[in-house]
Amino acid sequence: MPIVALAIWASLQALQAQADIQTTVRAFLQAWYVDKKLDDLKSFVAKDNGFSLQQTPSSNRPSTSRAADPLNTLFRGAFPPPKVGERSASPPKSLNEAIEYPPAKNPSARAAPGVIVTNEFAIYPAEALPKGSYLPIKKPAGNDPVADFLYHLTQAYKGKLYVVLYTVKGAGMLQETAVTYWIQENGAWKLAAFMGTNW
Amino acid sequence: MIRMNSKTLAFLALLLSAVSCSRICHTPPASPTSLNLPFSVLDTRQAGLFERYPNVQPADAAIFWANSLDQSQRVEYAGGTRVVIKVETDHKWQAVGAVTAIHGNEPDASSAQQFNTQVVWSKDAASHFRKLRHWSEHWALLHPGQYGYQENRDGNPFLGMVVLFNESPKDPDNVDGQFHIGFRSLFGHYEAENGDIGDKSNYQLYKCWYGPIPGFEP
Repeated sequence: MPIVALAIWASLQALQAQADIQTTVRAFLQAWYVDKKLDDLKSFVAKDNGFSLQQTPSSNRPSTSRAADPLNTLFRGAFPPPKVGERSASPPKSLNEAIEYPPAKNPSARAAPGVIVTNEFAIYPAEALPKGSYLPIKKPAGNDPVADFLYHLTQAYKGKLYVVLYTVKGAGMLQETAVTYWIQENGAWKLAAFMGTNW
Repeated sequence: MIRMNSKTLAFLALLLSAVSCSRICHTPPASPTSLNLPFSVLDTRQAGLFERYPNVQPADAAIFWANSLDQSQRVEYAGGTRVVIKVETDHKWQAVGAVTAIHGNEPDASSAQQFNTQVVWSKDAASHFRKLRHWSEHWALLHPGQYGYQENRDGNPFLGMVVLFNESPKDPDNVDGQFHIGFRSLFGHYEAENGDIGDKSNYQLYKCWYGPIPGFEP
């Protein structure tokens, strides 16, 4: 009996964690993309985050603003100024006008335990993702701070690491697919990393 | 004074160069800088594929290359195809049947539509890439109807070659798709330049990963 009770308790904890992360992620995305409460967003960011990683000498792309405040650059960068001659678009009024999660290409992953799929985003436990596609499988051998940080997340937050995926589609917003990494830090879900991609 | 013979000096030079490449990916600059990458830099297979590019007559391929492509397209083709062809050669199979479009710098296009090469893959290409060591599945959310695989260069899911395939091709023996290379190395927003082989800093990485494109320096 104690084993059964323990199993039930564990699954309830997992369900609670999922409910919490969905609420937190939605609140963060709403504050960023719809309400544009940019000053509030830092409260969602984990202490253990990858936003201040320095570039490797081999990737010496100029990034002066990043050096000043990478989070401000990230949050404001979602709303690029209109191109010359372009009228500024009316901003999205709801989250589903701003972002979406297109029909998943991998039905088996969609159905994996713990995966939450909404019209706006999908939340995947790290263990439910294809191996190597979003997180390094083993300790990276090279000198890549991004790979090293992602590997660190896999080791330090086992069972407490989720990846949230969505594409940005809103008018006047930077069009990209976002891969965001969320960790549980002191009992709260926090954003550890954001990667905009062309995926 | 410490005296060293020529063999010791040569060994130390080799060691220093290896350490340098592994730490900061430095390779010596190519001798000529080319604003118009010549057709002659393509190897036999690359040239053969280009001779079957839409609107190209084999005899006039070099002229088409020089006059109808811009430099970003030439670099995308020369740099991208040589990586895929190297994978083919190393594994003794052939994946690319034809090249159908070359996308370089296209400021009016979305980031996802720039810096990639559209191809027709052979029937077995996807299964070949799926089995490659260190590669993994690639979810292509911005490319509806496509699936693919990614190289995970240096263990980083966002770096290296990505190959995409139409999941419902009209002809299963000739699967349309594309490939491109990702060079992004920091957490932040996506920019089209992240896929530009000819970008100065990207090309430093390219050389380190795949070797130089003959005669090219941005």
